[in-house]
Amino acid sequence: MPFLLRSTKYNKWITDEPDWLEDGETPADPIFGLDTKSNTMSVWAVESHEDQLDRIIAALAATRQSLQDFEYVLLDSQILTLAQIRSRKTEGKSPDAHLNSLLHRDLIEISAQKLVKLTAATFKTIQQEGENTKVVERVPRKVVAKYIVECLRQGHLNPAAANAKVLQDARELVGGSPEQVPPEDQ
Amino acid sequence: MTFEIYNPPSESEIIDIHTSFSDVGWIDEEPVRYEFGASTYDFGRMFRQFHKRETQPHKRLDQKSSLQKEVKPSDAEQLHKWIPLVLQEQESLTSLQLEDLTSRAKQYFIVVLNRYGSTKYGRVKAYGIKCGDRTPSSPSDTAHIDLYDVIRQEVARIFIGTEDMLADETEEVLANRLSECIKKYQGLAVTEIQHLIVNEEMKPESVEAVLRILGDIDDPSTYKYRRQLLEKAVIDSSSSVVRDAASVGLSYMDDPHAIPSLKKAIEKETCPLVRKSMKKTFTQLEDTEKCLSFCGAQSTTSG
Repeated sequence: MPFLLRSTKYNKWITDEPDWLEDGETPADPIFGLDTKSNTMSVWAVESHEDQLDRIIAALAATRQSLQDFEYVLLDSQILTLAQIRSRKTEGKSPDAHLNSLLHRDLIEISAQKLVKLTAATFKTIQQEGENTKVVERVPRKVVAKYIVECLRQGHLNPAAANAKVLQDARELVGGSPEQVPPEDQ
Repeated sequence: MTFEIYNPPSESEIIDIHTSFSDVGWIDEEPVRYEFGASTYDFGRMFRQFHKRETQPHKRLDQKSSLQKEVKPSDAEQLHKWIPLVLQEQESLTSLQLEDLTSRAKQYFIVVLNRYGSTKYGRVKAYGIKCGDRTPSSPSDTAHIDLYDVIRQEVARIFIGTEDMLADETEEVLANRLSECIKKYQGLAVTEIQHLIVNEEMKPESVEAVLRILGDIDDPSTYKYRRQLLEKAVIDSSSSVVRDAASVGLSYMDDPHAIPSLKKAIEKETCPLVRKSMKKTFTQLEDTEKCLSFCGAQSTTSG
C-alpha cells in the first residue's frame, strides 16, 4: 500500500513562498487541503501513481454536486508511518462497490500534531519534486467526464448511487459536439 | 465616463452622436491597453451591438467631434431591453419619473461613453427629444443616475457574507449571485469585476472562485470579455492562486483563442504547481483546436 488517495483542493498546496516563513516551517494553507471529520480521514489505497486512479476518480467525482475538476493528493504510506497515523480498512461509500470493499481505508485517531506532520512532509515532497510531482494533481473536468462515462460503460458505477446530473453532464461533455463559441472578431 | 442616452427620431435614420470629451476608442483596440480596461470596451460592445458587430477601424475622436452612424433597429431593441433594467435599480427614481423617462425614450437608445480625468464613475443622462428634431433637449433632471454606482453596489452585493462561509458554500453562493449579476448587467458587471481584480480590491480566495465561475458561466453576450479577463489574470496577476484559477477558468471555456496568452503565461510562470496546471490547460486547448480543425475539415469535405 504505497499510496493513499485523498481528495483535496489543489490550490491549498500552491504557495508564493512568503518571506515571513522561517526555515523548516510549513505554511498553514496546505493543512486545509487535508481536512478531517471526527478526527478521521477517508482515503483510497493505490499501489502506484497510475493504479486504478481513473476508476477511483470517476467514483468520487460522480457523487459531487456538479461535474468538476477532480483534485487529489497521494499520501505516501511511509510518511503516514512517520506521522504515526494508523489506518483501518472500512467499507467505502462510493457508487463503485468493488472499490468500496477493496480499496477504502480510514485514517483514524488523527491529532492536530499528527495532521501537521503529515501535511508538512507531504508539502515538502511536493516542493522538492516541483512541476513534475505526482503527489498532488488536478484532473480536468473533461478528463473526469471521460472516466465517468467509461466506468458507466463497463458497469463499474452504480448510477443510482451517483448524482444523476453529474452523469448527464459527463455524457454530454464526452459525447456532445465541441462547445459553440462566438466568432472571433477580425 | 459618462453615458448619455438619446432616443433617435426614427428607425434607420442617420443620427449624430456628439462626444464632448476626447479619448473615445473603438472596441478594435485591445481592451487591455485601456487605462480603464473593460469600461471602455463596454462602450465598444454597446456600439457593436448598435452596428451589428460591424468591424470598425480604431479611431480616436477629437474633442467635440461627431460621428454619423445608421441606427439599426434590431440592435437598438437590445439596448432598449437593457437600459430600463439599470434605471429601475435607481431607488431615487420614482415610477412616475421612470415612466416620464421611458415615454420620452420610446424605442431606441444610443449609449455614448466619454472619458474624462481619472474618474471611473459613470453617469447616465437621458435626453428628451421631439419627433423629427435632431437636437437633444436639456438633460432630464429626473434621469441622472450613476450607472457604475448601481453596478458597483450590485457587484459588492455578490460578496456579502461569503468570507464567513465554508469553501463549498461560498462557491455555490458566488456562482449563483455572479451568474445572475452578469446576466443582468452583462459586460458592465464583468468590467466592474475586472476593476476589483486589477486593483486587488478582492481577496485572492474570492478572486480564484470568481475566475473559475467566470469560465463556467453560460452567457454568450459576455463570453469574450470574460475570456479576456481570464487571459489577463493568467499572465498578470501577482497571486499564484489567482493565476492558477484563471488557468482553470480558461480550461472551462475550452477556447483555443486563449492559447497565445497561456503560452505567454507558462513562459513567465515561476510557481511549479501553477505551471503544471497551465500546461494541462494548454494541452487541452491544443486538443480542442485539433478537434475543431478536424470537424471543420470534415464538414467542408462532406459539403
